[in-house]
Amino acid sequence: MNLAELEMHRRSRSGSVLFRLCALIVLLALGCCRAHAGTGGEFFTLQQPGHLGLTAFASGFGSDTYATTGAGFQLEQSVTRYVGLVGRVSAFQVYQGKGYNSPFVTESTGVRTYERFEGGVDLKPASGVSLVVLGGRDVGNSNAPVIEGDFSSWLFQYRPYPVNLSFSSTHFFENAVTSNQIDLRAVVYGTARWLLLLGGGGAVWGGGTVGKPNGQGGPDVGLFLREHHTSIDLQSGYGSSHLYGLLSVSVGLGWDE
Amino acid sequence: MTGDQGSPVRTSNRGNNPRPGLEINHGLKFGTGGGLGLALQQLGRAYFRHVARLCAKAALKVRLAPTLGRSRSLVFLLVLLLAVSVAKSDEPVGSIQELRGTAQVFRAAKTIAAAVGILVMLGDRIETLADSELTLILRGGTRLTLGEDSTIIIDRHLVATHIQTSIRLLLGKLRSWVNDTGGAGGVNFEIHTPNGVAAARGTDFEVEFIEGKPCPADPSCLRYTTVGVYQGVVVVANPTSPAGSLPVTVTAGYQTTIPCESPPTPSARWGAEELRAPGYH
Repeated sequence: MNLAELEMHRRSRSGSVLFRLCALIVLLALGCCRAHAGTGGEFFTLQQPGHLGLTAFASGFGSDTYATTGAGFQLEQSVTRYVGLVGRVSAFQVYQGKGYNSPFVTESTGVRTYERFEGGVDLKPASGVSLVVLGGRDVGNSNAPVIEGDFSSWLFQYRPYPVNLSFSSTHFFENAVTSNQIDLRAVVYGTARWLLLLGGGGAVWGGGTVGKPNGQGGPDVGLFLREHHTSIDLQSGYGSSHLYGLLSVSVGLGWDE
Repeated sequence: MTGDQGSPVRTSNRGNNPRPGLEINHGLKFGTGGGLGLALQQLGRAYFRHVARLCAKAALKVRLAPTLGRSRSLVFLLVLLLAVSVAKSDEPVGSIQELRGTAQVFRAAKTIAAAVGILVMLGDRIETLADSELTLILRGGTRLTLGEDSTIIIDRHLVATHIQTSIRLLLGKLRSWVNDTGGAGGVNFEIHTPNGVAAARGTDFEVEFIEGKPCPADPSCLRYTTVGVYQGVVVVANPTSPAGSLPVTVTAGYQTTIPCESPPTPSARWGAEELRAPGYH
């Protein structure tokens, strides 16, 4: 694939992804408005008092073909009960190869670093449901726009084993690759201090310089320390990057204004 | 009431101060936020004291007819019983064991700066300020930790064969470690918030009443109670629910929420609502 073809492919692909994301946002917004139309238009009422949330996160992925680490933080300011504004700053290091979340056109042979600055909205149409839609740009060894959508929802919330379904989709304009991650986890055990989650998940990525879809998947183990607002998540499995391990830690804090 | 061995609380018949706090608990508590019931209770106490004083004076100064000679002993007995009754109701229910930051105790028309060791009387209103935390030990061994910006009133605390405690949480967070070994007849421990009641037997749990913030279970409601259980079982109900609230049983590791006048939500895993996608997403 020459550069002109790649550029054409990138544009058509990004147009399609943007269209899908816009359609999803409109659908969710319409759903929110319809759901709350009978409650006096509360969808547009400013949340008083507001809430500022801060989430710090760090993650690492390792396999014999791809290795990367990342860390950052996210600020979320409530606007209405159903909408929040989100800003996210993260920094990544790719040590070798290409993988599910690499924005690079070519494989890395040495360490490459880039920072990602994103902003967007968090739509919360119902209790336990969240869709964060972000747009931004990579700066550094990767230097191109990026768009992202993160969906999370609780199922069977009032059962002994509530289930969390989460889905993330990111499109890297640098290499025109779209990467999707999905996880389904259930709270299998818990006390007042911690929750243990078990489930499965993986990633599918393709398009752009990757071409055909690649994939990986395996079991998930999650530990949530309630009093410290800390999540520790581990996934290990097999796929296009061969045997891999993925570990992340995130801490959430919040302040009422 | 019975004194309890092993309790860190100094009751009136122990320690150097014979009846600390008794003098300043003689006034009525109107205007201190104790509520009508509490005010009537204290009005009754003041009335009994007045009657007791009059009876004592009458018994000492008035020469009674010989036919009433036998009644004199009855009058003395009555006076003694009344005096004992009044004294019992003024006994401290506990003491402040730990304090971080600033807290105040409102007793009658007086405001006392909270400090470690201060005895807490029935009907005291205890308030913590921002970035403050206060721990109380009640007679019988039950431990209460009041979070920041929180207010409680101890309405009832009887330590006998059956321990009965009723506490009003007007705002903020209260964690309770209920000692169920203090009474042979069991423990009846209740936390009342403006829209909920949490009743426990031998347990460790936390009740929070929040005003002015959207309830996670019903964002249109801006005043709600949450009950989370560390150990044991707590039964939660909303007595203000117009539809009639079926109580919800909450076990260890679970929580429930009472939005406004609605019944409590079914119990759910405590903390799960904070979780979203794994951090590597």
